[in-house]
Amino acid sequence: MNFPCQEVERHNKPEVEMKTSQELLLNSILICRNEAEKCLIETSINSLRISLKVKQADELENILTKKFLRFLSMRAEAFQVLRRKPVQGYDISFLITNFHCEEMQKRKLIDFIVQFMEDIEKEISELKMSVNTRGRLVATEFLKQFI
Amino acid sequence: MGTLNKRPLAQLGTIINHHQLNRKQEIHGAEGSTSNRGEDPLRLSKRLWKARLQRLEMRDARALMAIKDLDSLFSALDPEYYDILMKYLYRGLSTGDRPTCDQCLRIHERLTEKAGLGCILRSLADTVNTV
Repeated sequence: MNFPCQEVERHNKPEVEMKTSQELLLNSILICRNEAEKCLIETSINSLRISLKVKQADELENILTKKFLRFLSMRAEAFQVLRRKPVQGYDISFLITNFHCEEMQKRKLIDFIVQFMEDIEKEISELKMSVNTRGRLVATEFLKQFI
Repeated sequence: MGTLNKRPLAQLGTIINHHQLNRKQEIHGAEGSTSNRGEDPLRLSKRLWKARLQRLEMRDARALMAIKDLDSLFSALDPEYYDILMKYLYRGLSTGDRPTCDQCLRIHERLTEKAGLGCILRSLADTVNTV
């Protein structure tokens, strides 16, 4: 719901980010699949922040995840609900305010987040496969000259 | 199958008693109530209270894992404790332990069907009855 800032008049800030008044913050929920994969949902009276930590099995996945999610975060304005910088300890964060809920359909927002979580692992696996394939092709071509 | 499994209910009763003790502490403060000073657990020092909570946390996890018959559990439990059970489920989900999370998700699904989405919202919004 729309809740203007209590501290500064004519300001309307997402309270989950500002954390100035404790009474406006609700309980946060942490859902872990394991140590490496978790989802933090922080709620407040006028906004909601969802932070995700994606599974990264090896160093290559770590780099690919970092690069890919940084690519998305830099284009956060296009997504509107994406946060430019993820919360510390997580790979990507979404910030959904009351204005987003008014402009967009809530069901579609939920579907977007769920779809994002489902597709992110698939994307990173595809990226990893393409990196390995290209590496193999390049190495094969390079080593052919020594045969 | 179908018979009431008393042992997990008793353990859930322990969870609820633990919650009630927490609630009393918030209402009356760490000093405890003056009416029953002799046997009031609120007189324990903060260090002892923390140790007790840690022991209770392990007991809670075991209690959640021991729950098998959900229908009888929900029928035996008062509806006002559904929200508290939901909070304990989220606590279990935050552990990261695979069997605990699987069990918690199973109970979460059934509890949401039984109590509705309001139960989830109340567990988020209620900052008084903490677990």
